[in-house]
Amino acid sequence: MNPLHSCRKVAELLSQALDEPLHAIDSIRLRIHLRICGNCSNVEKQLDMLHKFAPEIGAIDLNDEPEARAPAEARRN
Amino acid sequence: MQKHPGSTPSDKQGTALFQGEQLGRIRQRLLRHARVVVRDAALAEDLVQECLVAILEHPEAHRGQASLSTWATAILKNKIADWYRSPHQRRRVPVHDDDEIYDDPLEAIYDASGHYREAVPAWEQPDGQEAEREMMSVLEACLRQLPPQIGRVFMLREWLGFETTEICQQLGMTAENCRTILHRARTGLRRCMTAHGHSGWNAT
Repeated sequence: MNPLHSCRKVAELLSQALDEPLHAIDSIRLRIHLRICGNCSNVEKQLDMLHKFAPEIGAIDLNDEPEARAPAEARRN
Repeated sequence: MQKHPGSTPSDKQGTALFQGEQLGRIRQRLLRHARVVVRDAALAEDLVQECLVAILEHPEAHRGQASLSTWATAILKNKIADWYRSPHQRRRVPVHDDDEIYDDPLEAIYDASGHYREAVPAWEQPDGQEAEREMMSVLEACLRQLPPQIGRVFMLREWLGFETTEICQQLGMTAENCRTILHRARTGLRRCMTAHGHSGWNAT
């Protein structure tokens, strides 16, 4: 058996790890894989950012979004 | 629909909060969020309506530095979470649509041995408020591009902070189903944001 997970399996485990504890063996194989795989490390960081920013949806003002800003400014000026 | 600001005439601050078209804009934003989490458009309207009524009835509850829409969003999140947890809502949540869940082109990102066909780029941390806003608007846009069922489960988990066991229970899904959907949601968002976000929040 391949001691390392494929990137595909790693992506599944990275997602799962955000929701529940992984089995010890999966967790170890995951860490080894991440150490040697740049792509999967980047995936991990991207998922962490999604996890960090998703709760902020609506909490960070998007008043500057073009469709909201343009008419408001036009009226003010 | 426009709630007249005069509905709370005795409260000066409250009236000031809802001047102009601010309320209409906030309502639109709340609806956008609600529609992603709640499947039924009429139900999303109801929840947003309840949220706006709560705000208009107690404008004095808005304190501190949170902007009005931030505050309104927090109230909406509570309303939606309460709704999902209420004992009467179950039959209104449709059982998952298998085709929606399984018809998924994302598998094309791996080769036969399970490696990435294309290099996965590193994202930069958003630097400053402007970059953060830019990133959030890309995130919201990408979220709306996900298949509805997938976006909903993601929002329940990551926006409202539900445990996956609770999501499975409320939506009548197996744990494996839930895991798969969340994985697909995250992969879809990751790829969408990589495709649309980079020029946006890379700039320093």
